[in-house]
Amino acid sequence: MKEPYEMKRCDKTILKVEHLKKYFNTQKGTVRAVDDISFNVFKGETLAIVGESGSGKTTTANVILGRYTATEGSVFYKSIEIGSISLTMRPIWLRREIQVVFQDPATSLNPKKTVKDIIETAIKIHYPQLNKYERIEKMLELLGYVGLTEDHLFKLPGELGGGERQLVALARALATNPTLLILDEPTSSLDVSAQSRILVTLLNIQKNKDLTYILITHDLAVVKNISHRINVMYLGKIVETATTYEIFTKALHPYTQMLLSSIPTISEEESKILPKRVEPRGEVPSAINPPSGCRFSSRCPFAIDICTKREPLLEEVITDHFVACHLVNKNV
Amino acid sequence: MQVSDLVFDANRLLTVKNLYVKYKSYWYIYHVLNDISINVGLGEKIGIIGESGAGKTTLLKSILQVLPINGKITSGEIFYRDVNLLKCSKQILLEIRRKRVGMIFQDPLAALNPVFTIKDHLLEVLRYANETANIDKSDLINIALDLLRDTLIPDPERILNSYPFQLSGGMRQRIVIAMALASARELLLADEPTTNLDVTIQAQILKLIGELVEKRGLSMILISHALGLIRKMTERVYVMYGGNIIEEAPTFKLFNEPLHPYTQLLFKTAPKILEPLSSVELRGNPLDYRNLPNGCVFHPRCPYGDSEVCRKVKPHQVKVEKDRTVYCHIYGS
Repeated sequence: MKEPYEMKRCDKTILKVEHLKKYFNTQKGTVRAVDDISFNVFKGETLAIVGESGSGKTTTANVILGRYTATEGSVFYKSIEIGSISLTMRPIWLRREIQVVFQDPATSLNPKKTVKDIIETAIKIHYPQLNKYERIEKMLELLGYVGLTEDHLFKLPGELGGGERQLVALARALATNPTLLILDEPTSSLDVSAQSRILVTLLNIQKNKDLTYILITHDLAVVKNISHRINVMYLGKIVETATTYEIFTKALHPYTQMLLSSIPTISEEESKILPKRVEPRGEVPSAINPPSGCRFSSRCPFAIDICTKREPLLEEVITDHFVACHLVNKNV
Repeated sequence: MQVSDLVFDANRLLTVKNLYVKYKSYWYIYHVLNDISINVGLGEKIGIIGESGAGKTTLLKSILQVLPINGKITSGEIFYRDVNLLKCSKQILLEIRRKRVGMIFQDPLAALNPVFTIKDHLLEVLRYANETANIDKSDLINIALDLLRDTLIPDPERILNSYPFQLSGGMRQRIVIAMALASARELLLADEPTTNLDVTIQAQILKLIGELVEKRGLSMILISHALGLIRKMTERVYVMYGGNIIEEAPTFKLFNEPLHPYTQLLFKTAPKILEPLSSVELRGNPLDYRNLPNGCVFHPRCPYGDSEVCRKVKPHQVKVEKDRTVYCHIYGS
């Protein structure tokens, strides 16, 4: 493997999340879905957030999108605080700049509207000055970006294959000329053959339009192919942050190693490079009463005394490689 | 009448021969399975790969004859040991379903009834599985607890009295596996058992299924579109496309060198860890089952499929090696 990406420190930070917390009050108690996380997103990069379900990936994305407001902490987009503004209160230019592609295109597209209607609505709202012909022109341009043709314009989502539907969802997100695109498990409901089409398209669009992606997924093979940096989340905490190359060659946190060792590989060479040290076991505990100390301690094969007593902090172990684990941090 | 326990040929526990299945809707007839032949030996682990809509689930359902009401087997033969399942009496079919073959269904939440407890689910299966053995209820509960322990469920007594919605996805899947194992004494049919689960849970469930199948000496048919999973779990693989088997090979050979153009594309397009994304893609649309293409079903999307013979003649079985067959004209001449 070669290093595909060098971290450019001078790069402009486009999104800054600081001590973000999002709690939900339920009958059983407070669910601490996201609990004090901080990270930066640089312009033009793809930041992947990986973790099991229940680790707070989607909640983080929803706070950035404005579907939830933050309980505590803040989200800065181009140095404007947006974490406390709900979606309806956000100015239209902001909504234009942060867009999202959802997991399942079968449910995120209206089955009774044609592809034209779906994409045109976004253009009508965000560019009301365009007339009918200009809108059509823009739509064709968008379909061209994602590799669809005008033949698709008058089809219903039901007439399209899974991969094409997701491309339509992508075209709709691009209709507003966003700078930050949140991809919420964009390929997990698709077939293998359709997955690669979406991923190649995403890479091309990023190259051409200098988009920034936040990719949320639990499929590490996808992450390896398109992302530059990875945040590994577990039970509302970030446990490891590093470049993709670092994560796949020198994963330090036991949880990251567990995730890597559970990828089903398709060749002998692949299984050789993945760590074997940690056997996957157990399930994510409830976020209402997370284990004390390190949250991963209940599933960690290397847990020692201190792990259940004190919460590890996210510390820089190697340049740009942050880990929250007592076993790793004490060696620093 | 009883199913004979003698197998005449140890290589043939289950044999499907030239099976055709159609689905009828109000307007159209969908030809979903076309001339499928597979066989499963005693203790063998078979995988079936294919995209969604390739007919994998239909194949499993027609083996047990639990097709939806608009589905119909039009011709073909399904032999289980020496019994033809399409012609045998209802009694024998029930015996095979209840005592010999178990099926793990795709979506564990849909496979469990939300108004019954796990105990109800397991006891119902066990009651039929042990019909003739004359076992009373408390023994059945003990068997159920053993099954739950076998599937590594913590605190089985508590789980037995809970409802499906109170359990996590991984736990529910384990219950479904336990139910399938209760009736599977010879053959386990697993229909995408881990599709909706996290990778870490998936790895655990697969390890569990592998161990249980090994321990009980079962045969298995595993269906999946995740290639890595098939590689890990099976010995022999069938590749399906458009209701046809297009390639059959031992797993390690298939993964080293896929032969059929479709299989090659499938392997090339799968996102890999070591190689960058390939820009090769499967062009064209998924198959329309209402009117299948003439000749090879894959020719409209095949990179080499423009020859006359591909468009007109349906490819015959070509034996490439002793244990490998492929249905493609490239290897024919």
